[in-house]
Amino acid sequence: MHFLLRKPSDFKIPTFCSGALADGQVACLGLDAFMIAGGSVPRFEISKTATVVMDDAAGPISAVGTPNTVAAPISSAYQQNLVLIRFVADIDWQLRNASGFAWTENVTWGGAGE
Amino acid sequence: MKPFLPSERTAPKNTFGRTMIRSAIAMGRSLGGGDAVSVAEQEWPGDQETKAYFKQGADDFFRQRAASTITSTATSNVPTSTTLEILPTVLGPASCSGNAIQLSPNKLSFGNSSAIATAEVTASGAGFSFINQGSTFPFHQMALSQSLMTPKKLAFGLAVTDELYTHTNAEAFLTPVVARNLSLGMETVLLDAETETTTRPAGLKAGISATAADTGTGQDAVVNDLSNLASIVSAVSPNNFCFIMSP
Repeated sequence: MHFLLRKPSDFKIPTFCSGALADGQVACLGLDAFMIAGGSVPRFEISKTATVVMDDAAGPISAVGTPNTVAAPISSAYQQNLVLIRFVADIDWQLRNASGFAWTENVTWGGAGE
Repeated sequence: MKPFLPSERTAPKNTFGRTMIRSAIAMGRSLGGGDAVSVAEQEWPGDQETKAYFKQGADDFFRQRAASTITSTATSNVPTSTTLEILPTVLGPASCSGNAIQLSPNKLSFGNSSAIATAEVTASGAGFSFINQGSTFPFHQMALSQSLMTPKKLAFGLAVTDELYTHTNAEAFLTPVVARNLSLGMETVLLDAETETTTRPAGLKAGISATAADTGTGQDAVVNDLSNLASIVSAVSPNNFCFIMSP
């Protein structure tokens, strides 16, 4: 969601919603203080034959140890007739100044507890 | 007669992001035979960008497409990264992180560099005074702090069945799925309180305590809370900030 808060003057303040903020949290980001850098081109890559560990925080398929370990669950795109899609981009961000971001929590705009 | 193409009815606007999603679909569908260019031509006959993407190669395509729009930022003449041009279009128009990227005047490109050093000057009123004729001139030694930005690999993967990919309007399915998941995943990192590591950038809350919320309710509380936040941020980014709220 994206809307604009408008002061009596013509000064518009962009406002966004993010599910990454907990209920009752509001933040303010100073755009001049927000630096972001990226690599050349982000890539989508496709495979119908790769074998992958199906995990949000996947480790290596196997690891040497005592005993050796094998990750689970492992899926073969070829065997299960899947299409695997991965997106890769080099990116980094930084605040130039700690005052460039402020946030609050437990706001009670609609009444206590909202 | 023009063939009926369901995907054309639901297709997103012509953006870098659309080209990337379509190229991914064409690549996926062509792996069982044929080639991606043919798939793209058959699926989206009027889409010259996706065909050009395959014919020119990704790097050349985006270099050519982006060259006319990116030359400078507010703080340096380092060309804007192509990634930062494309990523907001993949994240979609409703994405908080995508909009933050687009609105930031400080978009930099790593190019072939392994790091970018950025400097911040601490504002000071010292070094300024009225002086008499012949008096010594004040010179202030600025307080500079340097920080380093390094490429962090943003990785995102998902699996879909071949049937879903091949026999449905994959674009209508894939575009919002990628946009929502990628956007929420990115914002989860962007808005957390974790400090920077060699793997990930710092969350914006890292080292920054929450400002106490106004204890009132209703419109007064809204105004007070937003004013309190804005007054903090305005010190370093006057008239150029955005609010982010939980939905």
